[in-house]
Amino acid sequence: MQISERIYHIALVEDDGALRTLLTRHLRQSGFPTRGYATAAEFRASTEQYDLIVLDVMLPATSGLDLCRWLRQRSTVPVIFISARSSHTDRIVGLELGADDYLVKPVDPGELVARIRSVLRRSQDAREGEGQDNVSIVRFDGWRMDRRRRELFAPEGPRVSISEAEFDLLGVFVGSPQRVIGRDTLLEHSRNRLPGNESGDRSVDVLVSRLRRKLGSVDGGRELIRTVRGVGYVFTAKVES
Amino acid sequence: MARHSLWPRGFTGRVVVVLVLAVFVQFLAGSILIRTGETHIQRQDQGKRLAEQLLIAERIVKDANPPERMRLLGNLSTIHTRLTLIEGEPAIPPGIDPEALAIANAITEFEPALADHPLRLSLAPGSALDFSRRIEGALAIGDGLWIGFAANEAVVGWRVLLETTLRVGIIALFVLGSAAVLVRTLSAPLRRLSDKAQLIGTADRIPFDEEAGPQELREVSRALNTMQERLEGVITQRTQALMAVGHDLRTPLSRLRLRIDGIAESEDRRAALADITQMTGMLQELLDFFETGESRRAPEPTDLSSLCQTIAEAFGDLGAEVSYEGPDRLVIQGVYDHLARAIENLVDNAVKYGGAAALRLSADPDAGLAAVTVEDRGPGIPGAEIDRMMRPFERLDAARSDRLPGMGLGLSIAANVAEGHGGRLELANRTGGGLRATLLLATK
Repeated sequence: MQISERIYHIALVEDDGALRTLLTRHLRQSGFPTRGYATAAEFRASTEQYDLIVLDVMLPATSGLDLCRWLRQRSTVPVIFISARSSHTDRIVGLELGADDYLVKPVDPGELVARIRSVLRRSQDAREGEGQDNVSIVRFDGWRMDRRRRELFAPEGPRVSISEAEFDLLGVFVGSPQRVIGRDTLLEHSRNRLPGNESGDRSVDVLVSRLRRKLGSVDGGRELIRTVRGVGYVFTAKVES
Repeated sequence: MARHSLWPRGFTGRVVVVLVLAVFVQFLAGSILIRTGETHIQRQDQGKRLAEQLLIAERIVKDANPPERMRLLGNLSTIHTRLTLIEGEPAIPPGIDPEALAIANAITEFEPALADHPLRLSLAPGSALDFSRRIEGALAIGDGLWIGFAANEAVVGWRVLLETTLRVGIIALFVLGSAAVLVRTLSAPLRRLSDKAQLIGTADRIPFDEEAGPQELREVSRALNTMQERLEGVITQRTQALMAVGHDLRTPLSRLRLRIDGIAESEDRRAALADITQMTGMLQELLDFFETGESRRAPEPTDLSSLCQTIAEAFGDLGAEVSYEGPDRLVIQGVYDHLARAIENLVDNAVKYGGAAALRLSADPDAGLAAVTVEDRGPGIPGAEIDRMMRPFERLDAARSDRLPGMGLGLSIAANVAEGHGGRLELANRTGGGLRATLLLATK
């Protein structure tokens, strides 16, 4: 779980030279040894092993999407797209190809690092067999959660709106169903997505109550998250993937 | 222009006016021609008959004994013409009435033997009822003797004329009536075309039938189709160009964002970061405007309640006061991202102008509509400006746009989304101040 324990190597494929240099520098300063590549061909020619690939969608000759497809046929290495295109379709295409996240330019450097950490943790959890993090679609009590697209659907299909923080929280719950989860664990997973200026525990409670309300739009939804007084919460539903 | 009052606006009306005028002229000309023709035939006819009678009378009277003459002439009279013997100057004035000239000519033409006899001819008033006139005249047969004659039949009378005029008039009316019906039939496709043409620009593409209706209208249909194609091409090109600019600016903006990271913390650095955030927002606004304006995305069941809650909470987390009131669940057919964008824009406006927002959700099952209402206590919008504010790139005033970043597309995007969801955006000033924006959305 402690991702700071080891060094993660990152490859950045970005055709814009200046941006490549700037991003590489920023990632290195953030503790990730990073190497930049200008084209898909250049990257493919490399024999290096990376822990995560940051891919620009629009690359000359072979696009980032094609490169992602090529990568997916060979490995499960996490991929984060950065793209100048923000439309729903572009995003979905990227995620459907198996990318783990999709960021729209101009990328906020802090946000990029946070997303890299989040994706790395998820892939590490998956490797260690913790939870169902490697599975895209998760079902519980008629609900459907698309972890890749970060979308939640109520029984009978309507899409239910959920904030990023609530989604992460729900992700922790479905990852450890029918087990008591402490507030500190929830807090750790929901870092820098907490609402307002509340103290940590209080923020987790606010998030849980919001999530409960949304799950409560369907009968029995409120009971899916039960409070264990003084400790934390239990996600009561059976989770299928 | 004054003639506008007489000149009908519609195509049918105009054609009918033209037809009425044409038929009237034809009627007049017809009447005159018929009258002239009939008069001519009748006079020729009368002239010939008179000529025959007069020639016979002349020969008989010349050969007969003077006492017998009067009686013989009496015998020669017919129900059409009465003949008398006049000794000395006849009562008829000398010469030939100009209007009876045709008859005189007919007489001498038909019986040239009468040409050297002095002839007097006049048109005497006949019946006072129909203003007809009768021929009277006298033919000199020598020795101071004249054969007087008087026709019993009127020269083309009022009644004859009236009858023919009536007949021609009735025909004219029939022609006019059927023509009006035909014109209406003919103009029906034109009206349909114009009704359809009104819709150009409101939906994707209005197809015009190039295979129906008269040739000219087919050509108009073809022209309209081509025009729409061309317009679409131009618009698509412009949109794509703007979108490409929107996309392409994001890479240099990314560089700028990262470069600023290298600058030491300062007021300028914070301001530069704020500028980048503003530019990013503007680009997103522009792209959203195009995306919501011509969305091809299929609607999916979407819960508006949770959407409104998420938005209210997100604004709340950023320090704005946004309340939510409504059901726990309200599912409509919609495009999630677009709905989110529209509601966010409305709440954002309310927070910007009014400092706080009240977000409410309700459904009207009878109308098949869901209503997302966003209210603020800001300055509102002057009544006359409300329509303008929904148009793209419009802002209430220039001074305010400095303070509030954006491209003025927020309301247009919301309106686009509402229309894309079978509804509309309504703006109204609240009593007591502030603005109420209502996003109406079809539930099915």
